[in-house]
Amino acid sequence: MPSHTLDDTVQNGESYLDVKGRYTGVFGWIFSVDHKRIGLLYLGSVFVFFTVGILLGLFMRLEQMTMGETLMTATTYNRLFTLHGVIMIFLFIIPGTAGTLGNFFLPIQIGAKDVFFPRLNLLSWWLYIAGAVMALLAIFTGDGMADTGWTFYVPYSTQTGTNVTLALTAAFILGFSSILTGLNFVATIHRMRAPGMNFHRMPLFVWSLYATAWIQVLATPVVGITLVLVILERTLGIGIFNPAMGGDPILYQHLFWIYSHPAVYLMVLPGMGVISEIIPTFCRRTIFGYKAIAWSSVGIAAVGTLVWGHHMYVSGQSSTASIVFSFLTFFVAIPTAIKVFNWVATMYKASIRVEVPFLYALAFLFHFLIGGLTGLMMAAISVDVHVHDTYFVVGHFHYTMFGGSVFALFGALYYWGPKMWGRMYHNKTAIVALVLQLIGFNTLYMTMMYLGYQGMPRRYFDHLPQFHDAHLVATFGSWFLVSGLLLMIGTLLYSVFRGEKAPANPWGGTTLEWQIPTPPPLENFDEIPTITDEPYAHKEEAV
Amino acid sequence: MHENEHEMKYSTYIYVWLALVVLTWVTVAVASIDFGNAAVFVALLIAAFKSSLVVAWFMHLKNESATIKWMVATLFIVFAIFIGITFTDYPFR
Amino acid sequence: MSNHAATMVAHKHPSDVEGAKIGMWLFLFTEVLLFGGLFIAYAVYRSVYPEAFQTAAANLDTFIGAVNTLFLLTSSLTVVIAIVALQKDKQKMAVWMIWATVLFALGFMVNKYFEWSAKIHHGIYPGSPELLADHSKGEIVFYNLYYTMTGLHGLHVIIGLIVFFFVLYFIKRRPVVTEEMPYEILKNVRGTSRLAVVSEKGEELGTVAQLDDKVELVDIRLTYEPVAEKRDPRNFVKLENAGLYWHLVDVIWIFLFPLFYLIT
Repeated sequence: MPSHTLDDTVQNGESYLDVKGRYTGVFGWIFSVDHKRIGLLYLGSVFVFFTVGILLGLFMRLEQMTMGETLMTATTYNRLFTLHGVIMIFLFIIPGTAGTLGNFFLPIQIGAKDVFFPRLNLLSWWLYIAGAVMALLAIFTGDGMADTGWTFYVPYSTQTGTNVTLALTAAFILGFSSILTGLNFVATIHRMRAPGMNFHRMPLFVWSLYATAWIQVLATPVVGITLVLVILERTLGIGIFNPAMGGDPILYQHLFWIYSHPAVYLMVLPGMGVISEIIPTFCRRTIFGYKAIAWSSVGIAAVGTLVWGHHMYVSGQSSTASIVFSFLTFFVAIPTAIKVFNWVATMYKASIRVEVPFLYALAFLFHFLIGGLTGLMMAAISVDVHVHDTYFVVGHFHYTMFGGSVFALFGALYYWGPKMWGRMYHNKTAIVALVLQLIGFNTLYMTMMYLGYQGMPRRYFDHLPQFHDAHLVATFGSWFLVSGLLLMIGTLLYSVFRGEKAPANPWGGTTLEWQIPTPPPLENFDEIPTITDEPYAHKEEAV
Repeated sequence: MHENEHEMKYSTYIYVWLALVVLTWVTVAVASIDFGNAAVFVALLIAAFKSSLVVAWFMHLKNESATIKWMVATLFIVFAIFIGITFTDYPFR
Repeated sequence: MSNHAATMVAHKHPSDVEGAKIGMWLFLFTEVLLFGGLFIAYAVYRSVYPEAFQTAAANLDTFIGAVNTLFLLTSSLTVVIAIVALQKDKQKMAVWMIWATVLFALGFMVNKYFEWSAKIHHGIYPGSPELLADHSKGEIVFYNLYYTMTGLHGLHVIIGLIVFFFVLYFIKRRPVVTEEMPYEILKNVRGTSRLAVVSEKGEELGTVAQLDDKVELVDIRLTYEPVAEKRDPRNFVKLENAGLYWHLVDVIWIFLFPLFYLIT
């Protein structure tokens, strides 16, 4: 079945998992500068926080099961959604695909032995941990976790007694970690491609990471300084956003979204890159419209930096600004649609091998289509004014971020897991988990969109009687979703330790990571390969 | 040192420094002239000129590869866009 | 072997200067945009309060600002001269020029100190009762921005100072090398008999004179002033990167100076 595993050209490198470095045990991991170990460090840590985030979400759903105060007070609920947002965004999705799979596969896919700055890479993981610890400290110190929502909007964030300062410092440090990853990736892609691999021979996952890395480098510092300004107002009374001192709170929103809107593309672009890898492999043919997909990543990154004001239609910004932002926002749909059409065209008339990663890719397409199209609805000012700050928005961004990026990440773990830890997953359990996730996800977030359209505001810990039934349905959905997620995490963990040994190339992939042993040796390649062809050149084969 | 480094001369840098000092004097002198609203643009123009001298010579961007030059250009375009689009808001409130 | 392999990963491509430069420039980009957020804020508030900004700017001392500008410009010059000197292998000159840079940077900070304390003495600092009571909102914003931006810039000057001290340390550090020498040769070299013999654990065992002929090889540790071609080329990269950072600090001041002092 596997098409052309290079079993006959076995290389004699010892697996990176077996190599003994200066340290052994845990220290052999947390002080390792090997990009593959760092990738797995990230993977382990982001999934710990993901699990915490899931449970927080589940608690919120449980609170919404009934009317009135049941499980928690309103303030606790506020802290919960703040923490859920901070964890899921800063500790899970942003480093989720780039930090884990990017670190692991970027160097291999371009035929390099490591990233350009290996020690900086390790530093960025340590900063991630430092930021995470600080975010957790914010829960247990002072007046407890911030209750502002992950957006930390002023003036509330400068007034509330909760521990906003520590939470902001955590976000600042996490931003720094993300910047270092981006910087490292740009330098790596520019300087470490194997001979013959020009930009148009790079795998599309690498292209998406390149676009992501630029967003990380150029947008993150802006939010960094913005958060610092809020900290300064809270600690030193420098009220740059304080109207009593002539400041403008809306300026905070501008500066915040200058980063945080591009940030949603830095969450989804690596996911799109993953899909661009999975689809040609399982369709067993080259990808349709390689250059269009590659450049549309850059296009999304570029246009994505121009549209932040669509979060602010009802903030009090000028209507001129709203119109400009609305107009620009529609443009993001173009490069995004280019990708979707090309993926679908790749599948057209292909002899598709349906495996779990491919099913996840389909789930991605389905969810992202819904998320993207509802995004277009809200780009229109007239619609957005009505659904702004309702569950409709919450449903929309869960469809893009969760149903999109995160499902792509799940698919990628099934796709690349065998390469990373050298063992296969249990197929049936994986499919059961996926079905549970699909049922749960769509029940939960579709219902949320319905609720939002009916007028249910987000971030309320209670609801009116007319919303009750739908809330109940959403909570039922969340149970399916959570069981699907836990089952999947269990399946993956089982595969890491007990799974069947994986062959070097279980899917017949054509990119470089499939041409080296499983798990990869410490330096990936005995000899740096010379690239003579496009990345997805599937040879004609008798099936 | 590195073969690909350009041969550098003290004198070039001293000339650049002299130019920077003169421009500092100019910007201070010009500030007392009343340009009205244009004053800030005059000041920024001189500052931009001064900083491009620093970037091109002191930071020897002019000897760097096309890749790095493009990256720097990207930076300034992105920053200009940030400011530009922000100003679709404030003047139209 | 494996230990060796693990360290190899860290230093695979010491010669790719271009890649290191890309990394440094990207880092500088993040600095530009860190200040960039503040410049956006400045631009917005200046457009909202043009008159107040002019009034407030008139209270800043243009002379001190200009002197500080000259300090930073000159320190930028001394850094490039240090770099050229190191390139021409004039190590002493390079060290002197770095000291000169440090001196100008300190001068800048001293000036800043007097400037800030005079303002604070007059009750003009963020959140002060005088500032809030006697000044218009636009002026309050101006001073808030002034303290934030020059404060962040000052922080960068201090970081730059620390970086230069590190660079000085690296340039002046004399490498210690350990070399193997047959005892036969060592004992015949004049004057070596008095050298201390130290065990691997660091205990003093006596002098070379006390060794007997059963010893075949002796490790000798030498501290030396390297000749030009043996000097660590990474020092040059370090100084160059420190210089790039320093010039950026200079560039930011080039904008801060007119924006805060000259728009009267």
